Amino acid sequence: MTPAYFVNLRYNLLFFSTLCGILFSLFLGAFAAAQSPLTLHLKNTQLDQDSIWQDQVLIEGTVEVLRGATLTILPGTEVRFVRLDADGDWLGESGLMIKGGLRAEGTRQQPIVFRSAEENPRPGDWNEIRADFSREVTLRHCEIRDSVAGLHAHYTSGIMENCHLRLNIDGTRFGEARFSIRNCLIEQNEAKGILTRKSTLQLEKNIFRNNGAGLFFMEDDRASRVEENNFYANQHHLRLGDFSKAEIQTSNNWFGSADSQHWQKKIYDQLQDPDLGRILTNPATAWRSGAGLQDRLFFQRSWQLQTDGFIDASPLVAAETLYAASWDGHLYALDPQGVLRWKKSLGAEIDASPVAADGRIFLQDWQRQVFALSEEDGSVRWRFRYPESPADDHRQGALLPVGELVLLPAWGGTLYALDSASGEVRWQLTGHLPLRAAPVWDGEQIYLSSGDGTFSAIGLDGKEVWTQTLSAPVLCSAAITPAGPVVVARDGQLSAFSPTGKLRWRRELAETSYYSGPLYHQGMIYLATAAGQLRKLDAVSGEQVWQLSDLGAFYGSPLIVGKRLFVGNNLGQLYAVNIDSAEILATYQVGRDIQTTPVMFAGQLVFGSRDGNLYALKLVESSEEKMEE
Amino acid sequence: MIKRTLHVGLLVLTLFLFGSGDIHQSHACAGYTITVGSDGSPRQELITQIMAELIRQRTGTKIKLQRFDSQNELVTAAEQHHVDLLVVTGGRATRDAAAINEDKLKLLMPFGYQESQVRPAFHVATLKRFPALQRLVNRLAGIIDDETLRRLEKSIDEDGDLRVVAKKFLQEQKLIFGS
Repeated sequence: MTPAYFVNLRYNLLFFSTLCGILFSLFLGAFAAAQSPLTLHLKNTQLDQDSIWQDQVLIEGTVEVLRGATLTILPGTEVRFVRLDADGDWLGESGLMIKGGLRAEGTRQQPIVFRSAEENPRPGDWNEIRADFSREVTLRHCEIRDSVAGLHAHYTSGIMENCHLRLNIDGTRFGEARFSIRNCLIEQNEAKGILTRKSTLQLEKNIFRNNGAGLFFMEDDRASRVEENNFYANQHHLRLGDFSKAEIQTSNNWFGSADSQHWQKKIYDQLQDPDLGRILTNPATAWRSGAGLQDRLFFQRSWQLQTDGFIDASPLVAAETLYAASWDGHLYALDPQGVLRWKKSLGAEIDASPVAADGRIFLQDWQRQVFALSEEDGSVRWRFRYPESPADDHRQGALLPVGELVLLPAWGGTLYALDSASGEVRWQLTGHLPLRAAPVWDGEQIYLSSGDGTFSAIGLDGKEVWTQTLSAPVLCSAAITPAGPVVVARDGQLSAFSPTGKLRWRRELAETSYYSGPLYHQGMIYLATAAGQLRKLDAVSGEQVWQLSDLGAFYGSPLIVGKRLFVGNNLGQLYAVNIDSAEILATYQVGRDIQTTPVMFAGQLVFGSRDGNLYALKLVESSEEKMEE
Repeated sequence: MIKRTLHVGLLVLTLFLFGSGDIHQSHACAGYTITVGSDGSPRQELITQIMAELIRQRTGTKIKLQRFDSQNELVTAAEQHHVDLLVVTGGRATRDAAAINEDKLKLLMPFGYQESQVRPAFHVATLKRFPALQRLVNRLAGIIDDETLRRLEKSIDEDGDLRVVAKKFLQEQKLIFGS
């Protein structure tokens, strides 16, 4: 071989390996681009031409959109702002300055988010979206959080719809601006939800909650229209600034109560400080439905399974399998397509929900038999039977697995603690006849509702810690909140206790409530009663936020998934309700009473009915917005 | 016709002037930004934060905090109306030996610490424009005594965030809302 050959070979190898390297890099680059969206990183920048942002944008400093240019932000974009504080005033300085136009139109499924880039974000991490003399500012389906002042618009006209302003110092500020703000959720803003000065605003169908001041009138805002909004849990719902001498007219807004004594103190005007102007309220007498972020949904049947009995027991999801029990005495195990995996005959009616732990399903039937079944095939691992009692007629409570125990509420008033592995009785507590509801566990104590009208806290050793007597039998389980349990008696007496048994608050609803218990979710209690009322109450104070009436008798408890509540009634109607707006989003009709609590199973909503069927529904998102003109 | 042309011209000129304002104008809040100055000492930093938070929350006005290297520099800047509100100490606060130019600065009631030798002061033009500010800042009169100040300074050592400490103090005093 000649040296030239070696040279050529080396050259060829070098060429080939370089080419492979480039191709590999391109492949890696394309792969990375496909895996994660590109981040546009901007420091102090001026945009003098129309620009489009999408995916991820990181702003460090101020990005200015100059006159004649429009910034369009596409749905799903996340704009993050780096915290800068050069002047040491503890407030972030990064932001957007709009002198041209801003079009930020997300969708319900793909909102546009403006937020802090900090790992632990705080209100005030970044400054604001400032719009000065802007010809067009449109924000739809945007979330603005962690800022000093959200959108801050001067001498600008625009629209803000379906936006979520939260965790800012001020949610938004308007100075001599003309804006329409509709269907927004304005919450948890440290100082003010919306501040306005000499502006003409049309504020309709918004929800203001948990802000320092919901709506703050800085000075002379007589021309604004404030109608059909819901205000609650703000320190002040409406407040005049110390410079304001104006008389502000608002109408048809809900201030959290029909009792003016209750809400008047949350309107800060000359009644609190004689040097200020006046706010005329003309309030609504009930919650304004359809306010807040709009939501659309419809149900589509996925599958159904016919059984030979009522299905009153709420289904159970465990190990990618759905377990449903029927009055026909069977436990059914199904896959996500509704195909039967196995079916086990237990001999008697079952109306208490099955529960699962350690690969086993536990349930009881009307022959007072308790079963531990294999999740795999329904084979019986152990069986326990308790004695007869005068209360043996209908409606049993589900068992509760706690550690190595499984707690059994027996019709006859005895709470049995069974060894979950063997079914042997470890201890028993007798005396509260009948027991028709599942006990609940808060990590420290067991709470037991009883048909004798008592509500008890019990230690894991079976010793009663305290017992409270309520005004009527208690037929449903308590809800566990961070401050203690909340329980409802059959006559509608709703009571909140501390873990030590001290009454925290009580509301006499004066309506029947059987087996549908209160549900705790993110600081709120949801209660559907046999009188057809669905309520949302503050779990700390017991104050009611909203109430829907005449929905048909509820015997099953609700389920909440995200911002939606699902509950069925005795007319065979399953409702989907948005928990912020109280709007009924969809209704699905089946043949008879729905007394189960629905469950989510592989993206489907599953519930049973007294028509003998188990139903699985798909939740279909609708993009259609019904914005009233 | 000439009158109409003049009106249109005037309108265009006004819009142009508004629209092409300098950086200071464009960062002002709908016309109102109150500048609060401190002499750079940790104590003044705290007091100016308290005043800033009080005004910000109760009036909705935007606040700019400006730090100077000494009391002399601060007072000079205030007299030239580069600062709207400041904290004056010592002889100036007791009006001793005509140490303050009362044509330029209006002394308010003392906070309560250092034998009441520390007071807020406004530039008179600021008060003329926003007379409600005098009453508002006077709500702090006598409520920051030496013991309170020590407690607040200890909170800063623990918390590290002046704005949070200032806000909590004002909430305790029920001067601003917030939990």
